[in-house]
Amino acid sequence: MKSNKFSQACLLDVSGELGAEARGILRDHVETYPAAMLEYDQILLRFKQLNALPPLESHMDQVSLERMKQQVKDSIHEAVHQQQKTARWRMMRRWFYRSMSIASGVAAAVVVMAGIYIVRQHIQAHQARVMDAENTFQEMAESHLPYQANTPIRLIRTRIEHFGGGNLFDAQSGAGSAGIMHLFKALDKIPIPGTEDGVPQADNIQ
Amino acid sequence: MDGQAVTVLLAQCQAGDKSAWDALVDGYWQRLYGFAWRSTKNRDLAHDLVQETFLRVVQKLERYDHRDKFDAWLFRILVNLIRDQSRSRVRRPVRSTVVDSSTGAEMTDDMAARTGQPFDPVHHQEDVQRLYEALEQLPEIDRQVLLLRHYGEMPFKDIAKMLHCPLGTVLARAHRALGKLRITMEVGHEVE
Repeated sequence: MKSNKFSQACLLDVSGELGAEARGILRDHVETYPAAMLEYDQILLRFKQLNALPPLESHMDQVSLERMKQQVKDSIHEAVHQQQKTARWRMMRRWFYRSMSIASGVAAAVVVMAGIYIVRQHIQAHQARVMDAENTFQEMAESHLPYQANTPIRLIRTRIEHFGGGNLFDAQSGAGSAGIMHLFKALDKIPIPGTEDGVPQADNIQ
Repeated sequence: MDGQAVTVLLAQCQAGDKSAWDALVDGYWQRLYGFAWRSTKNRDLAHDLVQETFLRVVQKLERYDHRDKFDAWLFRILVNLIRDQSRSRVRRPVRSTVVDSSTGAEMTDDMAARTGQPFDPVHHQEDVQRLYEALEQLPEIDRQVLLLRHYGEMPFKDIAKMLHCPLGTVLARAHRALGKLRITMEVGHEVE
């Protein structure tokens, strides 16, 4: 065993920090070599000398020690109290900022939603106006187009009557008037729902 | 105080339990104060430094790494404070004083030690005084190791961790310091 390692092991042993196994090895070594035994005793003596330093209680009375200890406790209580106060304040500030940010978010969302609503309303109103205009145009177009395929025959006839103004039937002459008369006759043969026997009166036409 | 108990206590301290802080002070104050007192040779200063140590613990407990030993962490704070204090004292010397509890008179620690009150009668007064003087003659780092071992009641392994040096180095310092103490004491006896 090297000298410095040995003295270190002795020091650990006398201070009670050496493990059981190492302690056994050290004891064997010390019992085997008288020089080692001598050095071990010296180290033990020196260490005991350190322990001869009087403890704190021997220098100060218990009342003083307790008073000093209490002062330390009081200062700690004060520090802990301050720390808790600071932590509470920090937490309140954090909550304030958090709630403020939530409120800001909600307000922003409301503004965005209101904007979207207004734009949608505007678009819907615009679409309604366009549809109204389309309907108006359609109605106007329908009212000026008598020959549409689905126009009832009575309506066509009425429009033709309006178109002729009655003078056509008096003239009784010309290819156009003859054609129109043929058309009337053909129309008269078509049954019209809502009239008696489905056959219109010739006098009505005249 | 074993490691598990300390861990539980520290958790309670972190939760702001004042009685846990009291228990922590009860468990460590004497060791810290003993070490600080012998390191500074001034009771008031030692008291202030120990108080400051605990206040630092209050501030830094959240950052304490529980893998470290609490004793080592605590004493490291105190050692650093003592070192800072001794540096500032070099710049602005402070007379080491204590107040005599019986008379209220201010006196130096050395004087207080010589008065013998209320020393343990088992110890031989002059031997103790010589031992203190011998301790003073040691290099600071060697003295620190011995004071941490004796007043701090720290195992050499923890002292090594605290001082960030190998165990062998700490043991070598302790061995050397104890040897010097012994020589000083023997010389003193021979002179008598």
